[in-house]
Amino acid sequence: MTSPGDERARLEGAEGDFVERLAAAYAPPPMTGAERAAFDEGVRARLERPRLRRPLAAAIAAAAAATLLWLAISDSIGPSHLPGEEEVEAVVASSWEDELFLGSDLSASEDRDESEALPRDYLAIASAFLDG
Amino acid sequence: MVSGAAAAGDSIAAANLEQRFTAFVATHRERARRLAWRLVGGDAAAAEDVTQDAFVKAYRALGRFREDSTLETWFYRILVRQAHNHRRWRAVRLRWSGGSGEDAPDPSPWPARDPGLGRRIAEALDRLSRRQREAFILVHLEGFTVRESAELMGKPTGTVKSHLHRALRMLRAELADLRDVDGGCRK
Repeated sequence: MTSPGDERARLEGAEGDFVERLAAAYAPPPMTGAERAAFDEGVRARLERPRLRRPLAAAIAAAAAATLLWLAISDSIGPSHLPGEEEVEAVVASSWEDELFLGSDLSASEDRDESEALPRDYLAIASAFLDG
Repeated sequence: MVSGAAAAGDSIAAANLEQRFTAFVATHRERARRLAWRLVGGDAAAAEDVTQDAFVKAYRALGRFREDSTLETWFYRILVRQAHNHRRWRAVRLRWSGGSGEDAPDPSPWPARDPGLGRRIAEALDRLSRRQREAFILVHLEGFTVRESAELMGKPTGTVKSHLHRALRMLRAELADLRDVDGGCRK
């Protein structure tokens, strides 16, 4: 690699000076002896550190892939669309409006919905003991 | 007997490797840290981190390089990439922290002779594109040739020249006042 400044020297006077000024103003101070020693010590410490990064990165990548796969599968086999709050409100409102304007029995429909939601076993028990 | 000789050979090779590495660090420590410092925007702690990581990578690859010049190019290429990765992560952290500046480099220990000017230059460099900034720092501030810089950046020399030209034009516009003050270009 070349020594500093050869390309900079090719710049014409004013531009060369401008770049020179930037180079001087935008630089860290040279390292002291203690800083050099601390730096070397830091490099040593990093070298002695076990190389965990690669297995860790692989584990993270595997976990991310598994999550994506799980999301893809659950999307394809699960309900494609869950009703949002607005949609639920719209259904409730439409039932209430139906009763008011069309005369349909809201409580009956609620009862029906509830019994339909019960499992068959519970329905059998309910009919045996309650309806008797 | 054979295994003893092999073990002795291994330890000599390891000692040679250590020696080469120590010499390599001693030769490039200062320049590498300065380059990293400039690439990460004047953050001393980040520059040290980036440089040490690059040296560790160089050490692990040292056995594969016969000539130090090849290792040197490879090392600086790693360094440039590490610095870029650092900037990317810093940008992500800043975005996640709501741009509160928590992870921004600590401005207090700005070491340049003129802290205000140093910060202005850092901000002007920040406004350049990644490639423009890298080209300008490598060629004009660090003194790599265009060909070397092209190799370090993994770009053709023509592309580097074009980045360099645009970077210089933008910096001259951003820092136009520097060309008129004492010690600047026009007196």
